[in-house]
Amino acid sequence: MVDTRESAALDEAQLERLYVKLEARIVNVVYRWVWSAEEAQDITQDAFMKVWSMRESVDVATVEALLYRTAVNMASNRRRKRKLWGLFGLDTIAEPTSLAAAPDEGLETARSSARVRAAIDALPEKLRSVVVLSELSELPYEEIGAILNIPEGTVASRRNTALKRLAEALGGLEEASP
Amino acid sequence: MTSRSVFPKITPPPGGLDRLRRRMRVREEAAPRAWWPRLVPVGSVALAAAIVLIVVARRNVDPFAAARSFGGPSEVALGLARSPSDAVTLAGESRETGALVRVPTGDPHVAIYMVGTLE
Repeated sequence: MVDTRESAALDEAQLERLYVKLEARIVNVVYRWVWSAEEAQDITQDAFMKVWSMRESVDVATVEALLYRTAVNMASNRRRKRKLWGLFGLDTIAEPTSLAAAPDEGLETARSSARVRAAIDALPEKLRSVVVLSELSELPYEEIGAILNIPEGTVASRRNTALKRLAEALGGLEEASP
Repeated sequence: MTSRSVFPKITPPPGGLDRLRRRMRVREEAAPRAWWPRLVPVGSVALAAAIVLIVVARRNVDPFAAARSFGGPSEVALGLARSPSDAVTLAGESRETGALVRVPTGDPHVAIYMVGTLE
């Protein structure tokens, strides 16, 4: 955790520590919007640069939530723009890049990866953001609520709804064992 | 299928931190200096010009007084000024023996009279 007692303003060293700590998590979250590891990293960096550009007014105590929120908003905007461009045939949603190779488990076949992606894509934005953050950010419900500006109870109920829909789409879903 | 297999973790491309550092450095170097000092001289001149214009525009100029002081042919025709010749008369003996003739000039502010004697 970044020490917030020394100074109120965010400094370069703090931002770098935050990047080391959060890069993989935020990239994983953002990936579920853009489905490209490179683009997810770009968006993650853009979020860090955005926060860096407003460091004078950033509260270090809540900067992690701000980074997640900024990254999710950027990813959502990027996806929305792509959909719009896609309507005019100018762009398409990127195909997943090396999803089979990237996961640590390596269990997904290309077909099941596509099904998973389609199921996540089909979730409404508010359910997707909750379930993706709860599965990949390693944050408690309280902090996810702070990121999305919703109560903790809403986080829990939306997560359950999202998992239920994913289970329906994928033909069953078990909670992972720790 | 487990929730873990639905959300497999990907590894970000390497070199992210170095790239972020470079971007931060570029941003710092490219950060524009404060723009407002450059506007001070231009703003001062514009302000001074605006003040002068306002003062000049607000001055009460009586158009009739201006016309009277100008006294050109148009103003004379409008009755706003008297013809310069009206004010010029011969005095004394010259009135009996002299004659006053106005010589046309190109400048309405200049009136030239030729005084001739009849003797």
